[in-house]
Amino acid sequence: MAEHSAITKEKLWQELADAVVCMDEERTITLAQQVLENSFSPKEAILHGLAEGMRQVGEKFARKCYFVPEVLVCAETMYAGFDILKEHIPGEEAQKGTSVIVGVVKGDFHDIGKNIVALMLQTAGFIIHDLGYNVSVLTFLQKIREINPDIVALSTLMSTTLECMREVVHAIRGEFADISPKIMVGGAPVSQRFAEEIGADFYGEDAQQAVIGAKQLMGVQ
Amino acid sequence: MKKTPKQRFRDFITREDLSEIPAVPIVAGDHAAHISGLTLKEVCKSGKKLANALVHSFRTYNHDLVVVFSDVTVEAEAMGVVLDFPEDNSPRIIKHPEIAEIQPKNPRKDGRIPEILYAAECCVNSIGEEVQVCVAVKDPFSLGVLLGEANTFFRDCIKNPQLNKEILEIALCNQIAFVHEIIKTGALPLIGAPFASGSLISPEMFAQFVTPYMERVIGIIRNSGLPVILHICGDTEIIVDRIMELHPDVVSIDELDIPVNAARFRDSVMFMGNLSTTMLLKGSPGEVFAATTELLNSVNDPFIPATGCDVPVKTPQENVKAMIRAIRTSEKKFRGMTQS
Repeated sequence: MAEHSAITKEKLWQELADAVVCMDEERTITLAQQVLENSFSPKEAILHGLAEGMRQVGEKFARKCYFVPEVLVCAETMYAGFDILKEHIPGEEAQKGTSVIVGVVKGDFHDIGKNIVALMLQTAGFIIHDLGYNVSVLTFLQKIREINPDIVALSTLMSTTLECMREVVHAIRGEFADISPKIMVGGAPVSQRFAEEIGADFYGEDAQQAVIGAKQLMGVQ
Repeated sequence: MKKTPKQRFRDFITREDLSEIPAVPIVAGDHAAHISGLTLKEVCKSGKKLANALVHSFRTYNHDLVVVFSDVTVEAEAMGVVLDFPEDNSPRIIKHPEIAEIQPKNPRKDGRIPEILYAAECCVNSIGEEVQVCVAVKDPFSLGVLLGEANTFFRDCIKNPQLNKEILEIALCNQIAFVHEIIKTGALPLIGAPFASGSLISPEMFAQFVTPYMERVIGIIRNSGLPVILHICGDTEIIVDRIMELHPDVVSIDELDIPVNAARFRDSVMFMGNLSTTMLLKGSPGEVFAATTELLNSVNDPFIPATGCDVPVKTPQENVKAMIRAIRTSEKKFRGMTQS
């Protein structure tokens, strides 16, 4: 295709973003393959194409043009491209970027709030490692060791499991004094005061605050 | 002069007499259990205990609508969702059924639906003369979300709409049978739509996946000569026109501009809402009283001051009483209805 050989990377990034916004999985896969065929940077394609698409999706969600079904399908579309591109990012580089571990602390099985936060963070371009609910301290520590995340986001809905949240924060601070990932906390019984008391870096009252907080912690607007 | 809560509620929603404004803190099984010294697990598992807790809460508050409701998963569990029951928290879903295995169930036999119907019978027998007893029944869409695993179900609204429609047909059959049994108890079905919310789906999705199924549930209630009461969680601003196309008699809402919409739809519907449940939980009785008064005074057209959603479990009793006191002692008079 003539268009194919002449394509600039900027054009490709834009098309990738558009394909994500339009929920066009097939097109996203084709474009991701074009990134590799043209020897463009897969990391830039993720950042300026896929993540940019999800940023636009987030805007549409905020403006009530898109809703949960649309955001879920856009995210799926984004991951179809991401899965192709991430294989081609050099190991060390792949470990970097703005990655967030999210999870509901042990003893708590409520994950709707956590899912929304994960979705919104993903929409804002963060790479999410979702550990689900009822996550033990050990599982958090193992995952942090494995992927060296920028942020760990903890959630709980119940006042009875607030102490588990405190345990996780203390364990992370003790175990990872050197790399020290930022820690965000949220959930109905959590407050700014509690967050400060247990040594978390940010308390988010809702999913939007979580996104703002994650950006602040990473030093972006 | 002094009406029973049942007369007060009936006269108000039929607009026969708007002089006494009903007070509706939506007290569900969880808060009722809390103030009755029971655990949530107990009221989820036993219709008798649920009824006892609801009757106790009515005796405590003397509010104007009693809602038989323990948790959102009752119908889904009967249809194959596996739950775990913590002592003092809502049941949680452990496992979803295979879609191919889902089928409508017998509300008199399967799962905890018979317990809910028994609770309804007990409440009707015990306090049904004094207060309108309702039983919460999920709209088919919200039941579908619970049956099919939320993210998958939402995703399939776009990716596999046909599959979702098959699930919704089965959910509808289940709910129709449930609604018939509720009506037999002498209670009123109250359609609860926790997931058919403008916070989650677009008006177009609502029209495609909520309306056709909700309409059929509503038809059964209406054909029985009963008023149609609908509760929708979250933000309803964007779907309010879709809701009105269903012609409910009463719409209980969480997030909506009531002053504007009560005026806009004054001839067609009675809104019910939307005091902040967070404020009810965390505020002082004085703050609750002030907020309730402010809500009442902000609306010119008839509406029922209620909580936006269920009263949170650990809400202080004094706060619920303050809300009701603010309504009972209010000088508020609504302007008369335009006759259509």
